[in-house]
Amino acid sequence: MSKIEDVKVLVETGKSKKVAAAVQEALDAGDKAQDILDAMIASMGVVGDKFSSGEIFVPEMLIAAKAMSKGVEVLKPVMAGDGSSSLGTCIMGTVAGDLHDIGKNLVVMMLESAGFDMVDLGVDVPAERFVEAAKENNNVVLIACSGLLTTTMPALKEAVQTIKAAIPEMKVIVGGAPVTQEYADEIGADGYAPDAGSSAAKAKEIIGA
Amino acid sequence: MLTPKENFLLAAVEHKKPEWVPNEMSDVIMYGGAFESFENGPAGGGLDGFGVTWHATESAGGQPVPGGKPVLDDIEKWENIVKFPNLDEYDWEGSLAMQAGIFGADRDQRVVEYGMWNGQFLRLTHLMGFENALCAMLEEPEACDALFAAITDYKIKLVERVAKHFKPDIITSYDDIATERGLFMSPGTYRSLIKPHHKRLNDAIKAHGIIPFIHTCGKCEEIIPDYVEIGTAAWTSAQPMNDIEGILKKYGSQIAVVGGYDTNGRPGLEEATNEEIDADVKRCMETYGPYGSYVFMGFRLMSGAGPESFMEGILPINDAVEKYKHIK
Repeated sequence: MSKIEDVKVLVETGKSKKVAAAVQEALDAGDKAQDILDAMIASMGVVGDKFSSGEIFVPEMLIAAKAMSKGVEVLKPVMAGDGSSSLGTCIMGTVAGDLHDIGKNLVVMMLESAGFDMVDLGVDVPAERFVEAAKENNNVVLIACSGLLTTTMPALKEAVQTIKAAIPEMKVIVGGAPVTQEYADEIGADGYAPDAGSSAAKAKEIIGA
Repeated sequence: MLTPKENFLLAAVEHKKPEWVPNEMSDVIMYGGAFESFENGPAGGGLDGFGVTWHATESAGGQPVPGGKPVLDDIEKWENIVKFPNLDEYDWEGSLAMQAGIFGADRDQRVVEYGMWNGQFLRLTHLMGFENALCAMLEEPEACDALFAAITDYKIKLVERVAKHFKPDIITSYDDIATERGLFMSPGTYRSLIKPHHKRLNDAIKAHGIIPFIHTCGKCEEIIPDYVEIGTAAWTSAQPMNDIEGILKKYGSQIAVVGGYDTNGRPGLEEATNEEIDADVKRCMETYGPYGSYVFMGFRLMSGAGPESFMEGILPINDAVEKYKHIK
């Protein structure tokens, strides 16, 4: 098995304590940092698909994302200044009145693993804060809004409409347990992902990556 | 005619068809739960007996939820870090008198149920934060197992106090292990890591002559056979994203289902209309009632943390239950 294949397996199986060494070995063996990163992104795609299909559960996805992040730490100094791998910046938060962060954090991990530079605004984020963050950060290509509670669905609508009113060209993706494609369409979002596993593919599709 | 208590026990414990569909929200004296300050911190927020900080939040209707910096970062260090509440410092008799004053003590007519919140899995998440806890279960299963065992030891001591002072008919262990879409962890992880501790706690409850119920919200239908296997008399608070009817058909003779009301949907909201409430209670009675081994339970998420706002939310539900509880 090639060194890159080792890294892929370790990310998919969430072996965070072993990934850093495997990435270093791949670099030492002459593999390009970009190729290693692409392999890890592909692994997280597999993990996301398995989660969406119910083959794996939240813990398996979490440890895979954790393993990927350990691998990326090794690659960062090697790739410093090389912005070619970034898909752009994504602003993400759970909407006002909603304190749930597990789903939001999972999506942050999956989008980061897919190549987005993530700005996590946390929970209970007022609609205007998404707009401010989009203006404060460089190369923002996507805003992701999460809402878990049925009671905070109106806040999701307000967030999307506030963002669209302030920055009409900004792409917005929404998600959360009570959210449906129909509701996403109704409130004017550009996309909807039913779960964290499919969020990265949808986000890339929306920005045309 | 049976008393509400006899009728409730016929469905929930004997798993038979009662004279009418019992109502968890009117046929039961519910002690414990939020009143356990050592488990949930003081009213309005603060530290619990494990050193976890709880904050009152608007989105949880004023109920405190755990937050702040996790007490435990590294599961392998739990023995040096995790402390357990000193149950001998708690004013058990004072608490009983206070709760009996609020909820009543007509033990001949109503079932006495004690809610033991923050089960083994939930306590792990309170100590570590959700994501770290979920990772720990896969990355360090042996350390998790040891901590779950220690939490269970503590819970068994709690059962001893509850049995002595509250003398409940039922103890419900609250361990929310599911989301709206499924279990937080794989069924295999539940079975290997959590179920043995749930069983030991059930056994300890039964050793005191008390009936064990287990609570989890969310979609958990995959592990109902496991709840049966570990001797759970009833599963609460069953939400309709599960195939409740299928569960009653298949397992109703072995485990009762308490719940049914769409607490996560429109009927569970503060702004739900009486018509919406009425329709969902009728659905429960017509769909689940005929199977027996079923206890209705429904509530709404209201603003305010006190028992009065909770009661305000369930009054129209209880009115509808009275209307439909005799549907055959």
